[in-house]
Formats: sequence, C-alpha cells, structure tokens
Amino acid sequence: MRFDATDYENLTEGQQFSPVEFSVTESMKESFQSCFHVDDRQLADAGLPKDEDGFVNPVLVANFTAMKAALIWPTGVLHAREQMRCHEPVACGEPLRIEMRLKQKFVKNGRKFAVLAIEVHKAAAGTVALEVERTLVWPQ
Amino acid sequence: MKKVGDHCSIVIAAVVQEQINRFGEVHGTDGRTHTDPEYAENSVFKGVIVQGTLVLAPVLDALKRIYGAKKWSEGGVIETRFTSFTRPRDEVKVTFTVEEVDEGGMKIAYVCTKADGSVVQSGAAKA
Repeated sequence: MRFDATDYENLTEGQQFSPVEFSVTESMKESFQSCFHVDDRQLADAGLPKDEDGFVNPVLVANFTAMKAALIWPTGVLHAREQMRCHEPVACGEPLRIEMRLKQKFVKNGRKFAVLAIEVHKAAAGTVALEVERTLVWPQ
Repeated sequence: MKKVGDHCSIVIAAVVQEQINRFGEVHGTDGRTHTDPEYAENSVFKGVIVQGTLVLAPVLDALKRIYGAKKWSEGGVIETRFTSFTRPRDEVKVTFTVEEVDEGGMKIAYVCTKADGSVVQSGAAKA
C-alpha cells in the first residue's frame, strides 16, 4: 500500500481532473503489440484479413496515463469493468487530449468502486475519438 | 460471422513477466501486483496478475477484423467484465459468438477462458 495514495473518501462524484495531452508513438505501438501473441488461424480461415491499416489499438489509446496523472493510485486497485465506444481511429503521432471525471462511486458488498468517464479527443480537430467508462475496485 | 450462432476463436499465448512489465510501461498499468513477482506473491493476490487490458487488447484486434476496420473504428462498442485473474503462463482462449443481427448492427458475445475452464473476462460488442 502506498501511504501517499489518494484516499477513496476524498474522491467526489462529478470531480473533473486536469486534461492530459499525449500522443502514441510508433515505438509505443510496436512495444504494445509485442506484449501478446495470438493464434488467429480461425480468423484467417474465415477470410478475415489481418489489420493492416496501422491505427492504434483502442486499449493503448485509452491507456492509464491520465489516471496516473490525476491521482496517486494505491497498490492493489483492480479493474472490474470497461466499456469502450469507438468514434474515430487514432494514428500514431496524432496529438490527443484525455479528459476524465469521476462519474460515480459506490460501495457494494463491502467493496469500494469508482467509475471514471474518460474521453479521448483529437487535439487538432477537437473531435472525440474514444469514450471509455472504467470501473475500478479500491483496495480495502 | 454473419448470422446468429456463428462463432470463431482465437488463442492468446501465455505471457511471461517481461511482456507484462513492457505492457505496464507503455500502457501505464505498472502496479506492483503486475510487475513485482516477490511483492505479488506475498500479497493477497498470491502471485502476479496479468493486466486485464493485456487480454482485452487482442480481443479488440480480433473484433476489428470480424467487423471490418472502418465499421469497428467508427462506431464499435464493447462492454467487458473482468471476472478472474490471468496469471503468467496462462493461455487464454477467446470465443466469439454472434448473438443478434438487426438493422442496428451485429452483436457479438465473447468469453475468455483459461485451460482450467475459468472465465477471466467476458462481454459483448456491437457495430
């Protein structure tokens, strides 16, 4: 447990965190993709070609950078649920801005939950590329 | 993968600690429960937990192929529940099944299962 971590009791519903600007580099994307290997023969056999468009996986677009910038996370936070809505593909090098607020906090069966609403904007166009609702479980 | 009941699978190979650490570094999920085996072993988690998003990432790659890049990237929605831990050396099989097809698109349920039958995450996508 980190002793300087943000206390769950100090989180406030509706709380808006400072936006974070970033972009995904080619080397980040390559490093990310090298973390998993998939036997995808069934997809290939079904005539579904491999992704060659070069856009960034939404999991990497919605990375945990903004969350870590906003709060000091205690060790042992668990990820319970993730909802993603894709609006526009993101290319490497595109300037992005992540906006995040605490949508909800609640206690269920003695466990403390925090729901974050995250929007990833394309900084140049101002459009939303990705919306994420992320539910986390705070350590006891 | 066009009509209700159609299904297919992918297999995500087991990951090693070096991949978990690299993922944590690039994705920001570098907590000690993922990256510090000694700490994780002595914690309530009794060992390293693979990031749920490390399993989710290839699921999204597969959905993009199933729906087509444009359709998925400009309107795809996924809801995922992380229900159990994936550990290093766990191979994960992901099965996609078409549940609904209507004018709003195609709904695909997916389930990620380890060799012992336990489900580590599941959910549904639509595009």
